[in-house]
Amino acid sequence: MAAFPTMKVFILASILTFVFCDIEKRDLKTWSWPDCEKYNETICNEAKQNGSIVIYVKASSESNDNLHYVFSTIGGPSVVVLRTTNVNANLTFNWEKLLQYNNSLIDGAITFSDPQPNIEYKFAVVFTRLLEYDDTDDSADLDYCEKHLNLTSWNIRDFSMFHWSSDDLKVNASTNTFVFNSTSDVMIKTNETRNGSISFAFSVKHDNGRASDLPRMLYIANETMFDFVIANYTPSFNNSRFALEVVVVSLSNEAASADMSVDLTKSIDDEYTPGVFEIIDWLTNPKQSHISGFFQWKPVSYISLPRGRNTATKVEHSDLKNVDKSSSSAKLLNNTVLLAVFNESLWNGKTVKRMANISFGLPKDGFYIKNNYTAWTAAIGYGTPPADSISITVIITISAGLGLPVLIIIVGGIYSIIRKMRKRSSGYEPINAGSINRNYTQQSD
Amino acid sequence: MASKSEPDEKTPLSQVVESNNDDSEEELQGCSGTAPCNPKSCLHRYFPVLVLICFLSFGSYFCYDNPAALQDTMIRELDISEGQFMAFYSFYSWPNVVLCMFGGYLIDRLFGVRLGAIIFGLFVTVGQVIFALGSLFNLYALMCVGRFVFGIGGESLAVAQNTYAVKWFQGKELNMVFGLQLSFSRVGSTVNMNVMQPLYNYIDQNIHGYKCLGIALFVGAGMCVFSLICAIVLSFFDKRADRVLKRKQISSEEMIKFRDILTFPLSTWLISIICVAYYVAVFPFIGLGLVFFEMKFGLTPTSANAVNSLVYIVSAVASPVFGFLIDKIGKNVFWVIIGIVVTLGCHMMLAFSFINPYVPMVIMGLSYSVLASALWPMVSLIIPGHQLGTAYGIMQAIQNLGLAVIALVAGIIVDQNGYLILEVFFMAWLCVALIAGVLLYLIDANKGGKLNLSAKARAIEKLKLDAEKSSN
Repeated sequence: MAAFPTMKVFILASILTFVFCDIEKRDLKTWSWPDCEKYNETICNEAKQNGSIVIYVKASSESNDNLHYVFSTIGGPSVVVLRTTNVNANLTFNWEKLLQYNNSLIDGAITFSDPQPNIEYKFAVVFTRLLEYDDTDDSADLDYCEKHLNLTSWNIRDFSMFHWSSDDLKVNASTNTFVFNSTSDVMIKTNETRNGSISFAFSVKHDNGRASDLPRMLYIANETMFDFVIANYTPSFNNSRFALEVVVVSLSNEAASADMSVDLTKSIDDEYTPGVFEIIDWLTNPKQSHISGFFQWKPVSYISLPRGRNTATKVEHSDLKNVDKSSSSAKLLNNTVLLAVFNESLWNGKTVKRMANISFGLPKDGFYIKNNYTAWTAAIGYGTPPADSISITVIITISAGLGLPVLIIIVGGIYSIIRKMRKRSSGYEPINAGSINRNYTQQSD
Repeated sequence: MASKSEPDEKTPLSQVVESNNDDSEEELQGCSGTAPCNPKSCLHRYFPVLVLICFLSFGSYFCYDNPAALQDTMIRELDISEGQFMAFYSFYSWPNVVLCMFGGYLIDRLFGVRLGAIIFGLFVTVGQVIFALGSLFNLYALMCVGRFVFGIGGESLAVAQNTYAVKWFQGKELNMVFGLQLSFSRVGSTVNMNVMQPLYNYIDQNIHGYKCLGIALFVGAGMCVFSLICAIVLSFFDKRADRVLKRKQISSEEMIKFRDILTFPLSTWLISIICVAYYVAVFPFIGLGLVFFEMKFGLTPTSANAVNSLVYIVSAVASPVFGFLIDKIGKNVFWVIIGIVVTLGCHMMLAFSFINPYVPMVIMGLSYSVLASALWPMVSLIIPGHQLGTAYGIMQAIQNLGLAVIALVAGIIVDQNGYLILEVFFMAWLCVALIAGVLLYLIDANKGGKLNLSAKARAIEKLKLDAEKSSN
């Protein structure tokens, strides 16, 4: 028993040392519409009015091992992450290119200022489409629905069609949070007065910790967590369910990276997220974590507030598919800030591009219409994704819970054996009892 | 010790008591002479008596889960919230944390088991009628009153049922009878679950809305009337058997007083602790199991539901069988401990592994059956007949209290800390049950091991006891 906690401490210590190898704390600096003020007022105002949002967050460390995040709504909500190591440089933003002013192209709109740092790794996550489908069989299975539903049962919206509100951005420099919110009429049926909204609420992390809201995911200083919420819309169909089409793009300076993978880790422990026993890591380069990004989530979404076990429903993901340059999803990428960062290399062989659908719902959960609400939390980050471990409290509880009955059985067993032995050694009793028995049998015969 | 009326091995056990009467036997004529109607015949014990005992609470088990079977319909047609719906169960269970103890006491002290069963059967019927009327006129408050009245009857009726079982089957097939009662309670609620919605849909063709619901509930009331009829018929047979078999009447000095409860032996309380600690580790878990099976084991809602109801289904089939075997083998305490340990193992499997949950849930169903059919009859070995109603009432009350409180606590734990901690919590309760089980064994062994006798030893014991009685 005594060896058990010691071992635990050892494991804990080794985990801690492992974490120390990664950057534990970063300084964050946030710019909204960065460099916009350097251009004439019309360009800046236009960017703000038409909802072309760009947020630049620089997460720097003392060793100049910096992460540069670019969050943008241009061409669809996208997150680009760049890791630089040698010098402390900033990104510069060419707004004429970003807004494709005077027929200029978005290529190369986002570059590093001098001195040029060494870009060790870059990757991006782009939300390309919002799928809505009429799940008449209540299967909550996107693959099944793709095969069995006809075209009229689908309502597929490109995220590039949405108008993102600059007023709802709510950039908070102290918590490093901001919201991409869209109330655009793409989602609203005619004659509908409801004020529905769709939003991505980002929270850039600067240290390690655990989120206080369900699903209470562990986070590290190398990541950004976000909530995706579809609230208050009247769905197109009575049995509507939603899904996101996501594209992840990865490029490292080193040799062509291996294929991406979506890993599902199962655990018996759901102490942080009651009722959820899995975590999913979409790794851009599973073999080499120093040139890999991750997209992490727990397969749970919530159909109303407050978030809880009763309001939880499932999140499923499809298999990864390659994004071909000629595909319709690829065309959507060409209008996003991805092209501004990746330039022509976006479509060369070194860059790995994969897409997947992430769908919300579980059979019999009452569909989206039940509460007109769906919320999902995920994280985008660099390096090794955080992994939950069983807490010491749980281990102590379990070992006490399991040790006790064993102890009882042993003590009880020993006691009854001793008692029996004493009885046996206490002399003539059995003979006596036998004689009574004999009398008894004789008489009844 | 031995006397001349000591029976030999050839004398059937069931006739020991009867043959000891020196008074002239009553002549049984006509049908009464045939085996099924003759209280002296062992066939009579099975048919009609056992059948009647089993159907005694069929109506109450059928109606208890009427709301669950019609959950969506009720919420829609009565326009009530989920919370208001759950109140239908609260109004049943919370009063019974106390009331069924008095129910048992009243059976012992005032009514006797015969009148008691009829009165409580009447409560059940009236309660269901009020519930149905409330639905017919869409009066939510009246429906709650109905559930309350129904509850007063329901739990005490179960106590009466246990008392009847002991009265007719003690020293015979008592374990099996308790197992069979358990099966019937499951059959009652399963029939309800499968019948009510189709019945509602059928009535819905002509009458709609809450009126339709009311009529469907009146059909449930019909089941209660059926059970009430069983209670009346059973009381007739019981009275007749008392007369024919010249069963001993309880004298007024022997009548239980309330303070007698304090003199119940420690073993009774240990059995109660096992009862509550074991049941709270099984039923509140089933109540929260659906999401667990869906999320941890990736089952579809339909199969998660199937896994969740396995304990009920398995126990309905297995408990009479195990009861029968325990009747043959004896050693009740041993079986109780086995039941607890195996259930503990099942919970561990569910908590610490990803083994297909069909396996642990089937095993849990089996171990629950073993425990239930071995545990309840033990009380009748410790407590004299005239106090049995009270003893069963207390046990049921403690169990109700435990289930009501732990169901709430379990809900909070799972929301705050998840299923792993919840499972550990249930395991802790099973450990409490295990400690009580081991203590029960040790205390009982110190007193001569009456509870844990093998069936053979118990039969010999009984012969001796009867011989002693008749010689006095």
